[in-house]
Amino acid sequence: MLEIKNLHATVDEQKILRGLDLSVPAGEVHAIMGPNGAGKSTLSYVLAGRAGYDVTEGSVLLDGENILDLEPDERAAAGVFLAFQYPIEIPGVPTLTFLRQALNSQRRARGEDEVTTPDFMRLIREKGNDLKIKPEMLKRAVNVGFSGGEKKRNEVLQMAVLQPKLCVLDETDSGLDIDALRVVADGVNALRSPDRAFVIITHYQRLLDYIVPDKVHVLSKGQIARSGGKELALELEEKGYAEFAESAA
Amino acid sequence: MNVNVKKSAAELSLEAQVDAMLATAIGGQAQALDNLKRLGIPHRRLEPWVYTDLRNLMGDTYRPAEQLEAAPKLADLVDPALADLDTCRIVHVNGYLNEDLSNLDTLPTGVTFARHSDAPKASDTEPHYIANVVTAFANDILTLTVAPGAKIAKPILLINYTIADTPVASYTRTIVNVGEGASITLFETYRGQGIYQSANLLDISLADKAAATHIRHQNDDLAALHLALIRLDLGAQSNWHSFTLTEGARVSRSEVDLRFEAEGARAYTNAAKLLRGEQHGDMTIVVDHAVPNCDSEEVIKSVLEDKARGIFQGKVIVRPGAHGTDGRQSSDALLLSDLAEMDTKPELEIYNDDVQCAHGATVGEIDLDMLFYLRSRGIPEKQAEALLLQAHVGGAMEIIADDTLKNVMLELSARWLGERRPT
Repeated sequence: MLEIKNLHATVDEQKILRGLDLSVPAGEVHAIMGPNGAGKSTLSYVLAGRAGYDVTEGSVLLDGENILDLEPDERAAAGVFLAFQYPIEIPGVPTLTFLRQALNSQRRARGEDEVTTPDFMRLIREKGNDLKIKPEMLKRAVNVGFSGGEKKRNEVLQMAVLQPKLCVLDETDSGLDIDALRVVADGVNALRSPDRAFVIITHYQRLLDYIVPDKVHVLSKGQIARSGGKELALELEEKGYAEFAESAA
Repeated sequence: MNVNVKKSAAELSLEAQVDAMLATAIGGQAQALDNLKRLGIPHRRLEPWVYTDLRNLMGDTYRPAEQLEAAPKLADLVDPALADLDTCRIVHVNGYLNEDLSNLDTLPTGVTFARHSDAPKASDTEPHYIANVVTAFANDILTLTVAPGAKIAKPILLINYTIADTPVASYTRTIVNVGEGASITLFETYRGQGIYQSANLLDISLADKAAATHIRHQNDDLAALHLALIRLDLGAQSNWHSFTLTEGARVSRSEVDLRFEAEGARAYTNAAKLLRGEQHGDMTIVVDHAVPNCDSEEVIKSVLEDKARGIFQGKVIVRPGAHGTDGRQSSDALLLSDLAEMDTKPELEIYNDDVQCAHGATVGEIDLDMLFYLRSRGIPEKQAEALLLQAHVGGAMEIIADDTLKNVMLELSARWLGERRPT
């Protein structure tokens, strides 16, 4: 589903990604772990197409299509979804309006019919219930006045509504207590499917107790330094990232 | 100090019109004509006009507008967004009341309507240009009186339309007296076609515990000059909720002069400005806290594109003895181009310790983090921008309690945003 080959990217003319290769087949969950400054968040923004994250070499294919030439909204319509580490607050834009416009924009871009109001409300009620999101929250402006947990649940709600092919979760566990973490993890697990791939970026192993990955990769100095099964996360938890900080220096 | 400045063509024309009328005018009109002759057209060396150099910006000479022989159709006068509103209409075309296009017979019980030729008012003698020019040249004066205790639900729609083949000036003067404990909704609209000057004076007085909701949609022709002054006297525990949407006119100056006359009154005067091209839009508000325990707030939101220029001047005066005053104002502008400009001048004159006054002004661009967040969910750039701009402007509309009216204003602002050229 996702094929990243020899990806080089710069931010403010600083080389952050230096030849990253990653392949995530449909139906699998891959965790990307690594020390601070390894390029984890840069990878997530490069995939979503944020301005200022410049790809200088390499390719990113989603189902065989190079997405690097696409605008952020075109990538979303093609099936890329980034769950933000710090979801943005947007005063004055009601969450429902935002969700509906997002869903219908994507459907239009794919040549599909827009969702009618009753169908949309039904969809939102159902998905919101699963994530313990109260209807009042959806009337509030996007992420404004939301607690840390509510913001992350709102990210998962968007994922559930938009049904992307590729979900990239950037430090989704940060700022969550155990109860909130469980709700978010349940939401993500419910979305696991044979035609969807997940890239889970995390600094700590904790999240992976709840969302169990098929593979774990260590990102260091802008490259994948090591790959393994889910037991690699436990090993990292025990030994820390010191090995990677030194070996690549 | 006397500064001799060569008079502009507009000034000479104004002077000739004043001279022609001075001999026969009496009362407030004579005083206004005299003021105009003495003071001329305001210019940037006068502090309140420092950003809007009217003498320079006026450009054309305007002759007084004449009554049209063939009345236009109502459908052409009313903005389509307002067509479905259930209102009582009072229509002025070129500054003349048009009773055929109005539906005065639907005036709700409790509201009376009168038309007269002179209505002296103490402040007429103040050397205020817009007050003087309207008092001098308005064809007639309309007075709306709301009986004490009358709660008028149906909005009174004041439609002002000007049609000009050659540059003309139209003037309207309206007086609204809202009785004790009464309430009313006023909705003013300004549109037209051609090069013209539309100058309008609205005097509103709210008796004790009276309430007024006031909506104003200024969408004059892009070649027009729009001048407006609203003078407000607020009685004890009265409530004023006002929202102005400015999107029209080449040059506009919209003033609110608000005076608290008795304790416990609250006044909210919000505005949104949507300007593009080379439009110049000035909103000037003076709030005079002359008595204790009154609250005032102004929330101004601007979106400026191309070479448009927006101005907000807000002056809050808290006089000695006006303790317990709460006065707030904020102006937030988003500039969509490097050549757009926003000038903000907040002024606080406080002669009292026990007050809360705050003012804040921001000028910025569309927030790129917000834009990326929306786009990352599949919303194309222009639509995402429109969502953010609508949210920005909507911040000034919160005070409109009536959902139908609020939706009309949201629709009008969305229409402006939808007319943005693709870049």
